[in-house]
Amino acid sequence: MTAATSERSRGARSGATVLTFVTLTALTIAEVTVAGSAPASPGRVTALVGLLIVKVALVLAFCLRADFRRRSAARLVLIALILAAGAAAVLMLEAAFQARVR
Amino acid sequence: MTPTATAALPAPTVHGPHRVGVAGMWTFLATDAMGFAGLFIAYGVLRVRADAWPDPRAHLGLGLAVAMTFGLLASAFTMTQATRATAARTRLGWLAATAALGLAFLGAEIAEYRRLWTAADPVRIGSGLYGGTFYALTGYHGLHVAAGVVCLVAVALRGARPRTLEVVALYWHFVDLAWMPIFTFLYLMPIR
Repeated sequence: MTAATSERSRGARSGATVLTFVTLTALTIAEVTVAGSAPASPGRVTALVGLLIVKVALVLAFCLRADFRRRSAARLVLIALILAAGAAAVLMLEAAFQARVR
Repeated sequence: MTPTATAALPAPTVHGPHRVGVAGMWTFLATDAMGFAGLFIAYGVLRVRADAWPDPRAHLGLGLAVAMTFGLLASAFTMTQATRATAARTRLGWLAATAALGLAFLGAEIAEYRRLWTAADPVRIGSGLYGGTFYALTGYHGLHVAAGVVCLVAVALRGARPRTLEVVALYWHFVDLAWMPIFTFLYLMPIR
């Protein structure tokens, strides 16, 4: 790799890093805005969870560099997604049960 | 085994200490994530089952929490810059900035605890499920930040070698990651 190519690659990585952190900051501001919206807004919890998932995915991909080309990383993410979905299902069933009891 | 048979065997793969360090950190993070997951699941179940749950805005300081979140995000940025810096002096500068932001986060957390503890309607560890789960989650995370700052200082004192720094950076980004659901669920999630 020539010095110029190396320099270009470093510049591109720095640009991607800045963009990632600007996006994370913007998403945090969006979260706070959504949380402060009118109390009757029904999709608020869904929007907050959606924004959280995007933030976590950004940190996983760009900071922790969970490279999906590596098979082990893909498996790790798959297990995490299955566990998260399982936990969500348990919580929803629990909420449904509580609602029926009351 | 005859010399001929030995010669036929493939040479064993020897992993350098760097790869072992990264793999070890990933293993640690996986187990640590289970600790956080356990606390989050406990929080979720207790919150859903509770007859009443206080409004986060009635007790917690959202402005301070937002500042803490931005501080951690900035520290993740400085950590990334530290791992990419080629000159040792620059690396140490970014590391010092990361440690300072970590300390600022801890200071803000202590200030928040103090405010909650001494408020007119105090939130303490013993004051119901709300206080217990709040202090358990934020305290567990705070301990991680404190451990991270100690690691950063130790790495800086030993010359901040890039390979060691990469392993510590994984830990620091994980601590940053763990704060995100705490911020969303404890500070922002509205009451039912």
